[in-house]
Amino acid sequence: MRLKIILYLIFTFYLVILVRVYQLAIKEHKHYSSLALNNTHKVLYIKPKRGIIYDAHNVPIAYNELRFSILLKPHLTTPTLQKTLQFINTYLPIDIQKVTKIYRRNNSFYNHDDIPIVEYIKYQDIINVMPILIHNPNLTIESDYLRIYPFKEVLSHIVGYVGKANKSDVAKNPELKYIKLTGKNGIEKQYNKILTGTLGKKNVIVNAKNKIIKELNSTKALSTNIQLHIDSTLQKFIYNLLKKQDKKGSIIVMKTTGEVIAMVNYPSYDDNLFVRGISTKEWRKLIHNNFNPFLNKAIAGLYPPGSTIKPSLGLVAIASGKLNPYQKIYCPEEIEIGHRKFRDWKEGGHGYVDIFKAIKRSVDVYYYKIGLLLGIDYIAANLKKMGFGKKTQIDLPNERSGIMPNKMWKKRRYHQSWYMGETVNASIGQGYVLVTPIQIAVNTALMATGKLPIPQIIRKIGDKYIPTRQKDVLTATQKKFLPLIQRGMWQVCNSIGGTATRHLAKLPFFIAGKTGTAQVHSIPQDVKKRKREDELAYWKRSHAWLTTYAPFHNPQFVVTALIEHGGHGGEAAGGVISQIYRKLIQMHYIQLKKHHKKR
Amino acid sequence: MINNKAIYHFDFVLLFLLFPFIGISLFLVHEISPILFKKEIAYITIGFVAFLVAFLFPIRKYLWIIPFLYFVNIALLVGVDLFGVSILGAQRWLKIPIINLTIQPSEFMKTTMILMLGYKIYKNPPDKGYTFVELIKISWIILLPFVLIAKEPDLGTALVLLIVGFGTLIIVGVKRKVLINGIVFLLVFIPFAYQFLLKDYQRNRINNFLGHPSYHVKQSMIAVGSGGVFGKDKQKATQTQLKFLPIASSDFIFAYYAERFGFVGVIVLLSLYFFLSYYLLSYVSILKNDFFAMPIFASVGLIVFVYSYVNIAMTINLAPVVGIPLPLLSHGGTSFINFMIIFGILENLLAFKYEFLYNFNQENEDEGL
Repeated sequence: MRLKIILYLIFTFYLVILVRVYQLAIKEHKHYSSLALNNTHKVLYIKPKRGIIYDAHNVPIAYNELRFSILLKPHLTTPTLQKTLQFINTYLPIDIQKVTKIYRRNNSFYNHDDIPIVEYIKYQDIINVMPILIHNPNLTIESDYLRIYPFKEVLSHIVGYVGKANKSDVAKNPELKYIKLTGKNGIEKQYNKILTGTLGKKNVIVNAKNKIIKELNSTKALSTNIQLHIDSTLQKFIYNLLKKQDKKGSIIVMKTTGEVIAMVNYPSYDDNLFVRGISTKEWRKLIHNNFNPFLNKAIAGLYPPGSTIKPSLGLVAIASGKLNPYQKIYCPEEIEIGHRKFRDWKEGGHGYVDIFKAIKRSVDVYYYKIGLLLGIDYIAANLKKMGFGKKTQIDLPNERSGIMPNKMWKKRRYHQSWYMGETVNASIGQGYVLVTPIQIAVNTALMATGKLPIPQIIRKIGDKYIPTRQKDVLTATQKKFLPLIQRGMWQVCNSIGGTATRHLAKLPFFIAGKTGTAQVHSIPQDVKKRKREDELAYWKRSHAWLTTYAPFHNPQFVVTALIEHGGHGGEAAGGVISQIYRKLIQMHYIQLKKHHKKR
Repeated sequence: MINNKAIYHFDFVLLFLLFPFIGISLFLVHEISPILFKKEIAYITIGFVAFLVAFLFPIRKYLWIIPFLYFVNIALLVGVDLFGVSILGAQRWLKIPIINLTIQPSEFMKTTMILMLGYKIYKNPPDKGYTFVELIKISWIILLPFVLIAKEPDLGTALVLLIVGFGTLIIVGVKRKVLINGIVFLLVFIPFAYQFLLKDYQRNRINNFLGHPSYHVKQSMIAVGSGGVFGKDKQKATQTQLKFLPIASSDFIFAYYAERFGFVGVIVLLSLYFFLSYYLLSYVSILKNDFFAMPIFASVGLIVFVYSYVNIAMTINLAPVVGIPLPLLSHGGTSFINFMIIFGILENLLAFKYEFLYNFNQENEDEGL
């Protein structure tokens, strides 16, 4: 009896096993089969070589250079470590103390990876001693590519730099876990996906020790080179121009259709520092510099546009039908609105002024009156369309929009209603109005051609040209009156009394433009005669604008300059801009035809 | 030397029942490693020699040798405790100084213990079941090695001995009242033992088994699960061939078998084990008056069941991982030879059931022992 029970028990126990095996091998067979497959199938990744960035004439401005690193095994004893370092030192001079420190810092108990002690050794430095070094069992030599930016400060704001991919980068693109480097700024960031490329994959079968038993198939690693519109020679020329004269600011050279030929900021920084990981000391030096070398002022520096707003506002006023361009309006030295005096820049005023004189002489009071005539909301809506206080959509990261204020904006921002005086200030590009230099360049192109271009740095991706785009933002009426404004802008640079005429050295063709002086601090009410700009302390001096286009009869290029605390626009930037135009001729960017030339 | 009667009583079925296991083992081990296969051929040969020696040894004549072997084995276990070699935290091995050989005395304990049980029961046969006092008097034979082996610590082997020992006593005969009390005691004692008597790593193993299986078990389950209905070719049995399945030839040989032959193969193997233990246990009623042979058959039947069950169960996460081989299948000389000795003794007990001496001419079949 008991024996029978025990036999039944045994039978039941074996049955339980059978049920369990049934569950594993039949019910969940698929699951376990895929697990078995996962065990053996591994994918090996091949890193793509990051795409090269060329300038408009195929000069590489970001490329990869083969470099070598020496790695030591972890957990070496002090005598072995010293012996190994001495051994390396006999063939390849190294700073033993520094290297020892690096090794100690990384040699944690939990680390089982080899520790890199010297990185980025040049090929020619290591190639002769490599056969000797690799025989030491304690060290390995690995090769990797270092991203090089040969133009350093000159192009850093445009090209940007690569850095180690962090967690959020990897979350966006899982392949970065293997590629490791990703674009962190500038073009490197903007076109990161194209430059990074895709991993090559090799499907293999491995055993439990991860040894490859068989290769199945593979795909190649791919990446694409790109070309920019930037001309590195011109860029360097302009950078050196600013550097020599120590003019801090931003200069943009752009085709009227939007191709950015040069975009220079001074001061700047060396982007190569970031590739290897910038040190805290160097980073602090960059960040705490009062002149903001890290800021791409051309697209992210915010300044009041000052008088550069005047051609556009003039056009808006004429096209509105409320202003007769030929009517001479009396412009005294000041007008009073609500117990507040608004003065012209010129003591004594300009007398009777039409639109041409208003642009040529940059008559403030004329514009105060226009402003009051149109009202802020009408002005803001129209000027925003013309590029003020709005992102230009240039193909660079971190562009800022600036501000083109209206009543609603002020309500939302400050919970206050709008004052008339603020309309007056906005009419001469002061007060709340803030723009970036690239916005002024784009607006100048609009004044020159009637089309608002989207500035573009990229020229080619792989073999494919990327066309530029222009937006048709002007109304028919505005287009009709545009030539009047252009005439005013011509007078700025060429007529006697034009605010830039004296400062533009003689050029063999006509250019047109507008000066601007953007105040950074307000002038007390009782001061009648303004101080000369160069008598002010540096930080109180106004920012100087000069934006131009040329040739006048066939506008092809826009050159816009902002000189921080440069004082008067024409004075501060006229010389530089003349030199740039001369360089453009010399480089055959501007082909002089007969009708371009001055008679 | 061996007369016709002995050959007549020799159980060829029992012997032939071993061949499928040996065949399967040789086949699997050959596929896993040709080197291990050569070793296996060697120890199987030795195993058969041991079988023959154990068969021919007139154990019923020299019964005194049983307590002698038992206590020598116990002494060796104590020796392990005092001078043993510790491998991976468990002190299970004894180094023999001159010939530089390590032995694992707990491996042989199952043989000497079941013989000792048979000896003791033969000396004090139960009269319609053991009483509580009688049971205590016998069970020290089980508890002494249990404590010594559990202390090593090798709780798995110790518990298997405990189950086999007491299972045998229950089969031989225990009074109903004692049996019920024993079951109640166990139900109370197991939770207590888990909480207070187990070491951390042992509790971990049990928790692992209840929760997430370890790497070994996971790979073993993958092997079993990927085998499917009919199993996979040698080349496609990647779990074993590419060495993801650890110790595939020994403790986890069942997983390879299942990967190779699938669910159908498992039915065959389980039937073989069931039939073997059934066959051994069925001798209990045939030999019900032979109080020496009967308990030994009972315990061997239980050993085959408990060992095979625990081993297979751990490979499919039905039991915690313990170092218990699959009887006759796992690659391992000591375990195999040990089993062959046991089966030799069993054949001896059958063949010379009616003879005390090999050339005993007197025929007295009816009297029995």
